[in-house]
Amino acid sequence: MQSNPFHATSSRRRFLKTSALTGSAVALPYFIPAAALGRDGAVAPGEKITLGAIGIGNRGSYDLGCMLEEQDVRCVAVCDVRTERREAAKRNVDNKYGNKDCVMYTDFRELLARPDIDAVLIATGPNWHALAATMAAKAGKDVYCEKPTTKNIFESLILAETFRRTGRLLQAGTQRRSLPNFEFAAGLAQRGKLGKLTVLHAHPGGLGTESSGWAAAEKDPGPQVADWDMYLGPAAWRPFNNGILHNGFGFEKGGGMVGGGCLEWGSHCVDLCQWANQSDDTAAVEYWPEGNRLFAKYASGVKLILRNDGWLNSGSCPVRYEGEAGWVETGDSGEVFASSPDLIVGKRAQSSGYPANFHIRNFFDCVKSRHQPRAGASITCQTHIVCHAANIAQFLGRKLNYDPVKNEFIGDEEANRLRSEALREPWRI
Amino acid sequence: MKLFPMYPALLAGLMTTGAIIAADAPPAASQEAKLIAVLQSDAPPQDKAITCKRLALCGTKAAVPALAALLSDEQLASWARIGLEAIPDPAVDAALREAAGKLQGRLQLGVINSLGARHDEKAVAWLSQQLAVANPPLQAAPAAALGRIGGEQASQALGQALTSATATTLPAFCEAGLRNADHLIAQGKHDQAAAICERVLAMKTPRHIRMEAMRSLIVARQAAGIPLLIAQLKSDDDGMVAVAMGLAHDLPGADLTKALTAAVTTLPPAKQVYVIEALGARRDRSVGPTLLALTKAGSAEVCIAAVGALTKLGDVAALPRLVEIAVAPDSESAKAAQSAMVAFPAAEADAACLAMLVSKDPGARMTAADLISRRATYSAVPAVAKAAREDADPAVRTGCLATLRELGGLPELAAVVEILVKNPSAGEAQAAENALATICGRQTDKGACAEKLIAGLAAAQPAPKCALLRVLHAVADAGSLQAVRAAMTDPDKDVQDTATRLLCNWSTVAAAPDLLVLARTSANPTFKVLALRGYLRVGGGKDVSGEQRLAMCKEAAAMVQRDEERMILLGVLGNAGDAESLAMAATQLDNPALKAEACLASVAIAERLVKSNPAAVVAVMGQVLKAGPDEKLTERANAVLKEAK
Repeated sequence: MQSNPFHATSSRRRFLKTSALTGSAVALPYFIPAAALGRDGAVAPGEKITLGAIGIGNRGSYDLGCMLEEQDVRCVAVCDVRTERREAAKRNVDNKYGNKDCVMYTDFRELLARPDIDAVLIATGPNWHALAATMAAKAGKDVYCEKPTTKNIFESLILAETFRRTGRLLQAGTQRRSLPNFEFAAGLAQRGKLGKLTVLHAHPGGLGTESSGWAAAEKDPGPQVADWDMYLGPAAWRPFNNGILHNGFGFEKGGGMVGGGCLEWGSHCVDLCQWANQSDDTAAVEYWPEGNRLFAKYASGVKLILRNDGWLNSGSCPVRYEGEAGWVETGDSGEVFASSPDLIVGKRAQSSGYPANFHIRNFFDCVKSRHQPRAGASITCQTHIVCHAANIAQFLGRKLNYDPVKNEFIGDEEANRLRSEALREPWRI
Repeated sequence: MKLFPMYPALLAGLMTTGAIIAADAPPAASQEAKLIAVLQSDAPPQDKAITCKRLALCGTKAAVPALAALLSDEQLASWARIGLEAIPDPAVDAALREAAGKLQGRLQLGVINSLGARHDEKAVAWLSQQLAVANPPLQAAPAAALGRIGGEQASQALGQALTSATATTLPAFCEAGLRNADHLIAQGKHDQAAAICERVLAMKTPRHIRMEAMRSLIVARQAAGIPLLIAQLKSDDDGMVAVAMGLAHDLPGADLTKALTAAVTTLPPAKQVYVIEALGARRDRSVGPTLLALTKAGSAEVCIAAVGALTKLGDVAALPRLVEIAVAPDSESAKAAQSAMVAFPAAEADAACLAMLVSKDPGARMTAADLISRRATYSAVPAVAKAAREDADPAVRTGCLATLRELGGLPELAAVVEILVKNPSAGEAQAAENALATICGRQTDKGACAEKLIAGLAAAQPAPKCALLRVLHAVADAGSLQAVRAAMTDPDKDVQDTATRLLCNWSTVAAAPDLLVLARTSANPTFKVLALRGYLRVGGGKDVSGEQRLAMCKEAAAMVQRDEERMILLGVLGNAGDAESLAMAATQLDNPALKAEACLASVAIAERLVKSNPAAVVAVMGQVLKAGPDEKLTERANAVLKEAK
């Protein structure tokens, strides 16, 4: 076993393959009596899963709302560095349960220290995602963590390594893995209905690589409004700024220097391409920018194209899979387009939009069964590596070759330096 | 703000994102020198911060002193460490070690974290000291750094620390120790790694730490760890069962597969399903016989798990048993086996389904039809078509028609038409009609579809003839229209009625002449109304020119007798953009029942007409405003009136 996080182990790769298969479109109904496990191992049937929620802004409120609808889940604590959001989240939880029991925290470490909490939702914004998720795993919690889940390649590898070592479960908030139109399209590719795959297309939701930078200092309203130090967390220090505080959505996305780039939708759409390509256990080996597009190529020869334009009327987050015998395209409209009507004759499921309910249910089912969730840590790791590597190629403006076993760029020191970034004291991952 | 003299020009050259990191431009020494100069200037902190990041990309040994000087800066230390951690030169380690001894509090913790991140073995001695001298809450950082660096000396230090650990420090020390154990395993020092794990296991630690320790211990023991893994599987400790199951998936090796295979039959069903799933995931076909036996020996849950595992193995030897379960009376096991057949990753599964289609058991034949559909086995379609015609069991025939609906193409149309014309049971007839409609809907050659359908009309009894006409209505090409027109004079009254109603509901303007005749001449008042409505509807189609639409509206207007049809007429007129249409719409502005629709149509036409014929617009918009449309429409009318004037 290698402890260097830049090195994938053979056992891990095998494990990844397993996870990929169990989450595939053709997975069989799988039943594990949860009675075989218990708290600290899993939640026994009949018991409610005790939940803590960390980072309850716009997306976090949506996720938490879905989780509160689950009958076997009980949210007992919420945490946010912003007082207004923290109190609003508590109100929502208390209103749902008709009591005043939900406990509020400003420091998520106090929430993680509670032994009665089985699972946590992390929707802090990308600056905190990977660090908070790994700290939660080390504290014995299963984690539903929003995307983008990591800021760089190193964090991606540490994420997978930590969840593997601790035996905890991660479900990344890439909920399209649990939606029927995307599952159908991936299934066509996986079952060879498109012939040998040639090109995968993913909508990145933008390709800009902007650093979060250092905005002008403004008067810090103090902890009664927000704990700025905890907000910054692992990000390099900068003075209080309202614009940053209110933009947790993009703050430090993709790391401080390279920026978010293709991570916004890429963490969904590249993930879906990885799934269709059955390459959940590895990453592409070549990356290069060309015009207003980003290209990548897998060792198998399959090409991945990240492009913002030229899509059919398939809604947001579209993907397209092309093979030697046909193509299929789908997106959040729920429509499935294909090169031949014959390809979609078996399509029975319909969906539209991008609800997270199914994905969240899959997470809680896995918390009970200990099965790997659809978007587990290993899968999430590789998806994010592809996005980060593509972003680095875009940032450097040149072609990069990547070794997905050693997890290093071949013959490019600059690119390798961008694989990780120091965290602000006292944080470490 | 006082700036370093060269500073503004320097920044202009350096701070444009991408400018200094252009494609294929290696970091030039001169560039680094300029960045170092920014750090050593009195530039504002935000500029020094970004400079630190740029040095992370191109910095060398030369940048280390300038970056290290910022390690004591509360605001810039974190930025400086971003630069330092990325520079591969050993001078960074020396600078970090020096700073670590001088700094206090959070800044010191940050440097300690960087020493760990850089795996600086020369820092081990100092870090080890910190385990003893630092305040307990601050001991976690050096422990974590030692865990990351690894090695004999770090291992000893962490071992001693465990001896004196407090409740506060124990989790961090254990985590570091286990991380170190991973290093040792990677170096082949399995005994030392195992000793660390055993020590952690013996301590009173939180359960999740003991689970992690057990996991590492089993890995460290290699082959000797297999019995330990099996023992955990059999234990009553739920957490340890979870550890064993994780490793059952994770660890490679035929020996472990063999041990799991031997153990699985000795476990209670609740645990068997875990192990069976892991055996499937290991993809070792030697476990096939055991899994096949488990499909017969255990509970339904065990059978379902075994079916799933056999599917993952993909060994065709399992197919006969899967078929056997799949065709068993309705049960969860049967459903699981059917799903397994659908997902089975081998062409032999297609052949197995095809064989089921000629089984003596009607239930098996029904299942086969469904599986062929779900597997999308196009090669089996001719056989399915044959069964749809010839199978002795009506339910099977209906099932085969459902499969043809999913998979059939132009070649199968004749067979389905033949089935329909034979006047089958109501269920089969409906299935056949559904199949025809869906198959035709997928085809691009509508004429070829119509040809096959029309061929069946001559021999069809009234009921199937009506069904064929309904499908022809959906095809809606010229041949279909001709066939429907002809059926309007069929000897059978039901056929006549069906054909007439289908014509009234035609989707293209090609039916307009027939509809006009029908609207004018039909003896049936209902058909007259339906035909007029149909005529207006096709006149509003996108494929109709403005000129043709106007002509059709004039024809219709002469026949309209009721406000319901006038309402439809106004809707069609609203798509126009000419003065005559505007005038026609305006005639209804004083009709109380139609005033709102007339206003809407008039304004819509006027908006298209205003540029070419403003005078016509002015005249009618006055009437519109007088009629008192709603607020939004009033706004639009005034706007178009203003433009016209």
